[in-house]
Amino acid sequence: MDGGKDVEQIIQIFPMHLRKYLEGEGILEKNVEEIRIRIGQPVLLLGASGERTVPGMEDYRISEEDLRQMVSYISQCSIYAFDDEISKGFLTLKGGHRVGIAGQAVTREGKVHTIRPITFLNIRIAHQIYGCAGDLADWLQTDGIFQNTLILSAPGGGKTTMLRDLVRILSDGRKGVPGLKVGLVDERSEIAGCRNGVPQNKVGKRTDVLDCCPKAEGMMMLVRSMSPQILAVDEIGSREDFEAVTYALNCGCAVFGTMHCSSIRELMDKPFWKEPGNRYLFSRYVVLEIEEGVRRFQVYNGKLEKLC
Amino acid sequence: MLKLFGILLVLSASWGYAGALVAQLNRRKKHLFDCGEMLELLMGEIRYGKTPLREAFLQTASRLEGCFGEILNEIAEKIAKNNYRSLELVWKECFESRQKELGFTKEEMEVVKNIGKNLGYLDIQTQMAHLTMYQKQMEGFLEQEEKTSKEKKKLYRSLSMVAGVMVILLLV
Repeated sequence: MDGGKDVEQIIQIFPMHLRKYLEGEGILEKNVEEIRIRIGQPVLLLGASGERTVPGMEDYRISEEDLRQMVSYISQCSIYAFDDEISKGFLTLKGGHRVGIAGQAVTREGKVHTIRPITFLNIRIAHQIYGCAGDLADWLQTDGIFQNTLILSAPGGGKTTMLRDLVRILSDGRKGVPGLKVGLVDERSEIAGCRNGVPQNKVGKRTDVLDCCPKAEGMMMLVRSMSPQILAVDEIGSREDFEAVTYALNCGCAVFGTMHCSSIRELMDKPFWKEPGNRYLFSRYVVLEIEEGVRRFQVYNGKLEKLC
Repeated sequence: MLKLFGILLVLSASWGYAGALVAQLNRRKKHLFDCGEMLELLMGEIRYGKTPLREAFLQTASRLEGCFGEILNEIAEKIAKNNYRSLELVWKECFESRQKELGFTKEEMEVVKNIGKNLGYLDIQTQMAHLTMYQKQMEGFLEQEEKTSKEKKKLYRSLSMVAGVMVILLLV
């Protein structure tokens, strides 16, 4: 079931004179995954069916004033409150939508301190698909115990959507299966889509979220403080991440993570796999693929034998 | 008898007018103090909680009594609608609409309106520095007011009474 899109929050960040074009029926609802804003360029809508302009705005070019206003609306006139997020290159809107930002980076001691002026925006529309992980959940347990699972797909393959729904299902429980305490480390606010610490996406009633926190540190913190039964984390990859996963496993948590990787063959070429100790961390690997617009999954066990 | 009644009426009117001027002076002094308090609370919200301005205005308003709380609530409400051109204009409009009630001088009013000019687009340190600067200016106005208010009050009372006596002399 499609969880739908709350596009009102997105329309509200556009300058007043542009909102009427976006409010038209179905303009943002159908198949639009991203809205691209660039100074001096038209507004572009990107989706599974390709790229298009907003009807009525084909000849309109975004001005500096438009972008200044949009940044003001997105940050609630409070750039200082979002400087950490800006230095990471994104902001989260109410409703869980993410706004990627680019422009002129201001660096301090070799690190990005802020981006000013912000001249490019990529609004990624939050898209929840309730129940998309319903069939998958059964494959991730043995004798009623959830196995450590790594979800793999190419960028845009639906890892985050799948992990979010999995977290929601495990947290809420299903018919005959009680809910579990889930700890979610959401470094880039992509899974829960927190705004001021409050999840905007449905992540379940037994889920504790540590938002905007570095993954490795966040996993350790949650294990120590919230005693989760399941620990969920997006896009693990660094040595510190795997050390934190090992720590969580030693504390009796099952870990659900995601990784950029389009196939099992690619996984075997990853530095992660070449580290012998890491091969025993996960007992389930889920590979997501999109074939002719339909999302499919394959599940492998820890020895990389295909289960389904 | 009628003359005596008239004299008493003029004298009490003069006394009452002096009282109104003194009350206005006290109100202005209170508003200068409240403005400083508002800036202090706002800085607290920004410094410790990195709270976005809308929430900071609402939190501050809930701790303030009188018109500053009402003005901050009004600004927060306007920001929430996302249909403003700039925060500076919203701030300016809201304070300008209460100019009479605040009773500030032109110079004081300019400072209050300018607070909004530098809100929201700066990093936290510069934001703090600007608010501190405006807070000091408001403190300066308050100190000045405290120094002169006693004399002003005396002056208002005596001038009003003199004016009353003059009116009586002219009429009798």
